[in-house]
Amino acid sequence: MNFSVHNTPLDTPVPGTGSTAGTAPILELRDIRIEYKGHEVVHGVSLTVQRGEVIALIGPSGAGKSSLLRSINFLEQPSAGQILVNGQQVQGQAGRRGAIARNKALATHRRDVGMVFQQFNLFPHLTALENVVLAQVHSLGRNKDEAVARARQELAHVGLTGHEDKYPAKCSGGQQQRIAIARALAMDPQLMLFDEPTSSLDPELGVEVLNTMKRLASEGMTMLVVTHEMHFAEDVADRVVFMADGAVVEEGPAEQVMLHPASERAKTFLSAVRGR
Amino acid sequence: MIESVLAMVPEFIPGLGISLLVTIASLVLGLPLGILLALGSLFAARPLQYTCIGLIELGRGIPGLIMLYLVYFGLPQMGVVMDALPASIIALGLMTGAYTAEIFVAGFRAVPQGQWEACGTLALSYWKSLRLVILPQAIKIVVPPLIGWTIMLFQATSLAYAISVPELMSRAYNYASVTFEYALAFTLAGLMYLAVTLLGLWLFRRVGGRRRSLSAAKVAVPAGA
Amino acid sequence: MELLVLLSSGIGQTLGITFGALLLGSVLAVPLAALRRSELPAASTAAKILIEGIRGVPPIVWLLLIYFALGETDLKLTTFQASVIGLGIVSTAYIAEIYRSGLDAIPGGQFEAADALGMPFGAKFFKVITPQAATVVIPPLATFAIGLLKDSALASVIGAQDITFRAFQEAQANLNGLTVFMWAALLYILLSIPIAALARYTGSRLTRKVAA
Ligand SMILES: Nc1ncnc2c1ncn2[C@@H]1O[C@H](COP(=O)(O)OP(=O)(O)OP(=O)(O)O)[C@@H](O)[C@H]1O
Ligand SMILES: [Mg+2]
Repeated sequence: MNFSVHNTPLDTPVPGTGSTAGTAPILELRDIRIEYKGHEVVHGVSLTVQRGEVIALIGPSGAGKSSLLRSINFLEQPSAGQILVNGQQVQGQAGRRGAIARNKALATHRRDVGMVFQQFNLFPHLTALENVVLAQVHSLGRNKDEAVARARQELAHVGLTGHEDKYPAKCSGGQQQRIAIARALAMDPQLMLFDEPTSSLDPELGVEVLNTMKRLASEGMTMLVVTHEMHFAEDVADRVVFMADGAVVEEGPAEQVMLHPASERAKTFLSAVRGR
Repeated sequence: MIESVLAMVPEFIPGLGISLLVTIASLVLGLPLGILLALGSLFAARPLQYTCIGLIELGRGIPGLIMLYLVYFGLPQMGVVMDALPASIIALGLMTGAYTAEIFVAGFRAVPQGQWEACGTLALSYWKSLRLVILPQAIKIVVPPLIGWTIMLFQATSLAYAISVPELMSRAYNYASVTFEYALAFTLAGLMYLAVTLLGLWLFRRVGGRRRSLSAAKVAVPAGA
Repeated sequence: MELLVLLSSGIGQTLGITFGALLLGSVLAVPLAALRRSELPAASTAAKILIEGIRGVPPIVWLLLIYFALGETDLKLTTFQASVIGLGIVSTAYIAEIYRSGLDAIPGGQFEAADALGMPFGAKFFKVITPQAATVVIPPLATFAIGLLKDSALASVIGAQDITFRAFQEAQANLNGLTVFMWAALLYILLSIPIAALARYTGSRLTRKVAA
C-alpha cells in the first residue's frame, strides 16, 4: 500500500516526450494504481499534461476518473506509480483525516495544484471574500492586505464583484462554484483540477461556471477536467482522455476522440450520452 | 387555594434561584471538562484516548442520583467532606462533562469530510484547518444540543433535593410537610420547572434547533439523564 | 461480596419499577401518539401540550406528587405502586413521541398501498405498519428503557426498596458510601447491558425481516 519512494529529481528522460528539465511536462502520471480496501479500481494509468493544455477526462460512472484526479493531489493515495510535476517526483503522503498533508513536499505540491470539487466545499462560516483570503494568509503566508486585494481581483475575475460579503449559503450554486474557483486561483496554481464542477448545478447555473472555465482556458491555465459536459470536452478541451473500468481506453485531440472515436467502448459511451 | 399559592410563591422563588445557580455552576464546571474529554477521546494517544472514552461512558451510564450520593456520601470515605450544595454542583458538573463530551464529539464528526479535503488541497496545516475551519463549524452544530442538555441539567437539579440542597424541590417539600398541602405545593413547583423548561425550549428554537420539540433538544441527550 | 448480595436484594424492585413503568408507558402512549397524529388540530395540540407538559416537569416531582398527593386521598399507594405510576406517566410522554416518529418514518405510500390492496384495517396495521414502525421504534425505545432504569433510582427517594435504597441505608449505617455507591453504579451498568444487547438483536432481526 505504500507509495514507492524514488529519488528526486528524476534524471531519466520521460518516454514519449523527450523531456529534459526545461521542457518537462507540467504533470506526468506514470502507471498509477489505486485501490480501496485491497480492491483495485485504477489499473495503471499514465497521462502527460503539457503546460497550457486543457484536458477533459470523460467516461462512464465508476470508471475511476475521480479517483485518478484525486490521486494527483494525494487525496487518494496511489498504491503504485509515480506523479511528476515539472519532471520532479512528488512524494506525497496524505494522512490526517485522510486529507491533510503529512509532509512539506506534499504541501508545496498542493499549493501548485488547485482543486475544484463537485460539492464546492466552500467554508460555510466565511464570506466569499474570506473564503478566498484564508489560505492565502494561512498557507501561502501573504499579508492580509495583499491577500484581500488579490481575493477581490479573483472574485472579479470569476464575475462576482459585489458578492464579496455574502456567505456561501446566500449564493446560488453557480456563484458558489465560482467562489471555489477564485479560492483556488488565488493560490497561483500552475495546474487546476476540476472534478465534475457542474454536476450538482442546474444547467443554466452550470453555464456560468463553464464560461468561467472557458475563460481560464483561453488565458492559458493548465486544466484537467473530469466532466460529463460533452460540449465542454468538444469545444474547450485540447485533448480528451476516455476512461473505462479503471484504464485509459482512448485519448487524443478533442475532435478526434469526440467525433471519430476509434474504440467500441468510446463509441457506445458517446452515443449513449449524446442520445440523452 | 389562591391564598395558599400566594403564600407559597415567595417561599419557592429563592429555591428556584438555587436551582438555576446549581445549573449554571455545573455548566461552568462541566463544559471545560466535556471539551477536554472530547478532545481526549478524539485525538489523544491510545491509552489516554480509551480512558477518556471510558470516562464518558461511565459518566453517562451511572444514574444521576448515584453520582450525587457518590460525591456527597462517598468522598467523605476518602476524607473529603463537603456541603450539600458544592457536592450537588460537582456531581452534576461531572455528568455535564460526560454528556457534553458526547455532544462535542458528535459536533466535530458532523463537519463534512469535504471541509477537510478543501483544507488539505489548500495546503493548510492540521492545526490551522482545525482552528480556522473545523472548530468554528463544530461549535455552531453543537449549540442547540448544548441548550438541550442545559434544559435537562436544570431538571436534574431537582435530584439535589435528595441531599437537602435548599433548591426548588426541597422548598416545596419542606413547605408542604408543614401545611400538608402536598398536591398544591408539588404542582406549583412542577409548573415552575415547566416554565423555565419552556423558556429554554424557546431559546433552543431561536438558535435554530431543527426539530421543534423537546425531543430534538434531547437528541444528543437520552431520556433519564 | 456481602455488599453485592445486599445490593442485589434491590434488583427485584429496580427492575419491577423500570419494566412496570415501561409497560404502563408503552400502553398509554398508544392513544396519546394517535391523538398527536390526529388530523383534528385541537386534538393534536392537546396531545402536544400534554406531552411537553409532562416532560417539562422533572421525574422526581411526578414521584413526589403521586406518592404524597394521592396519599392525601383514601387511595393508599405503596412506594412501589407510586413509583411505577409516577415514572409510567413520564414514560407515556416520551414513548408517545417515539411512536410518533416511528409512524412518521413510514412513507405515506405504505398506507395507501395497503388500502389499494384492499387490506382490512387490522391486517393493514399489523402486517404492514407495525413491522416497519417496530424497526424504527425499538432502538430509541431501548435507549429510553436504559434511561428509565437509571431514573428508577429516584424511587428510593420516596422509599421504594430498590438498589439505590439498599445502598443508601448501608452507606448511612457504615459510612462506606464510596464503596457502596460504586458497587451500585456497577450494578446499574451491568443491568443496562442486556437491554442494549436485546435492542441490538431485535433491531437487526426486524430490519432483516423487513428488508427481506
Ligand atoms: N472511498 C471509496 N471506497 C471504496 N470504493 C470507492 C471509493 N471511492 C470510489 N470507489 C470505487 O472506485 C471506483 C471508481 O470510482 P470513481 O469515483 O473514481 O469513479 P468515477 O469515474 O469518478 O465515477 P463517477 O462518474 O460516478 O463520478 C468505483 O467502483 C467506486 O465504487
Ligand atoms: Mg467521480
